[in-house]
Amino acid sequence: MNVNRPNRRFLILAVSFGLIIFIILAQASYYQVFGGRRALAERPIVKEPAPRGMVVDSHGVPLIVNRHFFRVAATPNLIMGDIARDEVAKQLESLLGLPYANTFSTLQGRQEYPFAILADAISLEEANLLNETKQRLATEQGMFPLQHVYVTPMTRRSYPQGEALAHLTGFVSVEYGGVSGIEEYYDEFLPADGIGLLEEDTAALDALPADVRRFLPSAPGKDLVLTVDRTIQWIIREELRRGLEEFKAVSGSVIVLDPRTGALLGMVNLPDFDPNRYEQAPVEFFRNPAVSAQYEPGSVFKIVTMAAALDSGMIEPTTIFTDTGSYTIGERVVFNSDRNAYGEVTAAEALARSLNVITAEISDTMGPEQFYRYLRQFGLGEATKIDLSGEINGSIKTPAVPQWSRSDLGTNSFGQGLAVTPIQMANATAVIANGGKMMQPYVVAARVADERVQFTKPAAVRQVISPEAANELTEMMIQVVETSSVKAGVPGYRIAGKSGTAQIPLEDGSGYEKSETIVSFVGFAPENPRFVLLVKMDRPDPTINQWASHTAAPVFSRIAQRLLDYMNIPPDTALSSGEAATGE
Amino acid sequence: MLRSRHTASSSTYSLQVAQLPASEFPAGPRALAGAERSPRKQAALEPSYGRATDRLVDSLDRAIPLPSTLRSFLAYMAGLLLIAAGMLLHVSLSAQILQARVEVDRLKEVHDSIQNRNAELVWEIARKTNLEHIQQAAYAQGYRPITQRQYVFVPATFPALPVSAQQAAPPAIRPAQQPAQAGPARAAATPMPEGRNLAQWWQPWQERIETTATRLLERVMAPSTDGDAF
Repeated sequence: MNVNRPNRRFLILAVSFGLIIFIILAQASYYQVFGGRRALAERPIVKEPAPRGMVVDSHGVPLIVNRHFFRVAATPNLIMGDIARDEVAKQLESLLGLPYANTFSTLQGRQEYPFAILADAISLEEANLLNETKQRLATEQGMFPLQHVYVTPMTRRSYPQGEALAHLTGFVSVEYGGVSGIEEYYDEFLPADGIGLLEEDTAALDALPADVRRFLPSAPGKDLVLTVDRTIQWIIREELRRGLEEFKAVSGSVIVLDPRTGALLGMVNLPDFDPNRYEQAPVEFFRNPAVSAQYEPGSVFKIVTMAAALDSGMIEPTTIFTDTGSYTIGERVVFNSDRNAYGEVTAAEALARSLNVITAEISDTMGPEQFYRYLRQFGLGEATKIDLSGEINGSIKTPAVPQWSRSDLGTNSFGQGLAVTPIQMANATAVIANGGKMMQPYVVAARVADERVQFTKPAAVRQVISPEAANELTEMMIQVVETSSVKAGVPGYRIAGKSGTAQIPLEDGSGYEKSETIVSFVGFAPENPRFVLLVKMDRPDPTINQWASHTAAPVFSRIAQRLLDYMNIPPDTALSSGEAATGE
Repeated sequence: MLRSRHTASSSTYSLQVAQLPASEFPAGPRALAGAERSPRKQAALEPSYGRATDRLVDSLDRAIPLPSTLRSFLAYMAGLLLIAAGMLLHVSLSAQILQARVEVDRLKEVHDSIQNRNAELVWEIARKTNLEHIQQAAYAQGYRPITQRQYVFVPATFPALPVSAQQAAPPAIRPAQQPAQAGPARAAATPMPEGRNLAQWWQPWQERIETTATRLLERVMAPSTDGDAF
């Protein structure tokens, strides 16, 4: 063969092969560059919200966790022919018990579509069984109709403590994300793709106590550690329920705050709901009344008036007043609740007897400017900015409002004619327990993200009253419990507190309901106080009792006793072995 | 008539097939088998694909000269082999990548499965340690809530111990015989077992505290040998 001789056929073959190779390479390049994107676009994409992190209590007990269910979906346009559809339907019936007819009709009806849901919530075991079968078939057959059936995980929030923390945790709805409570307030943080931590002041995960780290970090990596203790939550819920049953009250709230830091230790409202089955509960139950419902506090508010008077130097606990049984302020005559006159009484006695006349006189003497300035200092009438959703401001009329009159000053002094939220009242009491310093209340102790943790540092808001005034008022509040609200006492402990029985304003604003009341009691164990406790019950049965000192006070006592036991706080008084402090 | 043009300076051939008389191929191509073909006849055997194709072939021939010598043929083959090897390498790498992706997907499935099982375990633990469940279980086992708690106070005149020793020591209890000192010390209290004399109960604790305190004091006072702080 003459190699020098040009070979036309060889040349044509070479060119043809070259062309084929070029076409193949071009096609391959095309698929490489654009094909993946096109394939992705063709895949059925069901947008599931990003998984959310876990929420644990102050001891690491899971309060909100994720549970995984599995959805069985298919790409019907790839399952071609009735034989293939029949095979898929039969296999799914035998593996998962899905009705044959349903599966077959779904696949046939949606044969033009790239997506169809065949089952919505199968268990992990069933999902594993289906996947294992697919793997086996892939090994045995390579191509098989069931390969176009997929198992996709679905994450659902679960609240293992049930109703106990319903208002605190809130819940998540599939459509709207976090709906209330922590879930709503931290809706931007909790999802795996949510916002992260601020750069500064983060620490390694081992900065968390070992018990808190038990389940952290979760798979989504965005978790919250609450200040709330679920045992405290359990105690206050149990006792509140008992109180509501005992006094046939309609609803109630209990708040436990650490006055030294502002940390929320417990918060309960009844009636509540099960966040795992929120769709079965009435919508009005979702609101957290402890932060988003206002009420007229009644005589509990007298501690604020007294604090203002003590701090401004206007009175001392021993300052003597003359109670004539009535006091005219503005166009209104104020009476004591029992319509009696008590003659000469000290300020401490006036608080112990809860005399409206003296309190109105004190506020009148103090003047509106100073009185309302102290109210603002105590944070009343404005949101505390606790990290819970739905907090409201409350409602306090001030002289700046045209509707305000001097008589409002008198009624406001004993907690009528104004509205506060339970958290505001608890926080104002915490000021007294904490030597006059207001702390920022908070419910999230630490945020965990990307193996880092950021702690909430207790923050002082302001010094509201002097420590001396706070101490004097504390002693006056102890006298309240020792002389009038004795049912609030706890044997062996000095308890400072104040009861409040408030009438309920009519909705049309024309006056007050005649027999219905809101009863509340707020107090603390003053020896290095570890908690401030507020108990509030709405509309106790008047035929049983409608006064706070007989309804809210015993509930307060029972809760305080159990909290003191739980926190291992020994009694204040020295007891010999024969006089050991006992519970109830 | 077959016309051939060949220039010595160029290896390019331009072949044109004109109308040939039938006498040029009396027995057809088969008749030429075994016979020595003249270049003209050889060229005449080349089929013609029309002018346009011929021009294309010509131009390709000029652009991509085909091997005309053994050496150039070998070079040509080496080039082709190189391309083939490259393609094989590409296919092989792609296969490996695909395999790795499948493996990653499998591992991801395993990972997801483990995570799901973990989540289910956490939920199960949380549900079963729910205080309501615990209470039910405790009641079922005969436990009842405490209704009475006893606190016993630390004597105010307790011998001074190093801080760490105080922390390490069990809660100190005042013997029943000693009167309560003014200003009770606040300390963690432990319940006292019933039916025993307080002094008897106190004695082993006291001995233990003293022993512990002595040991701790010795350790504090002893010179450190390994440089570790106590």
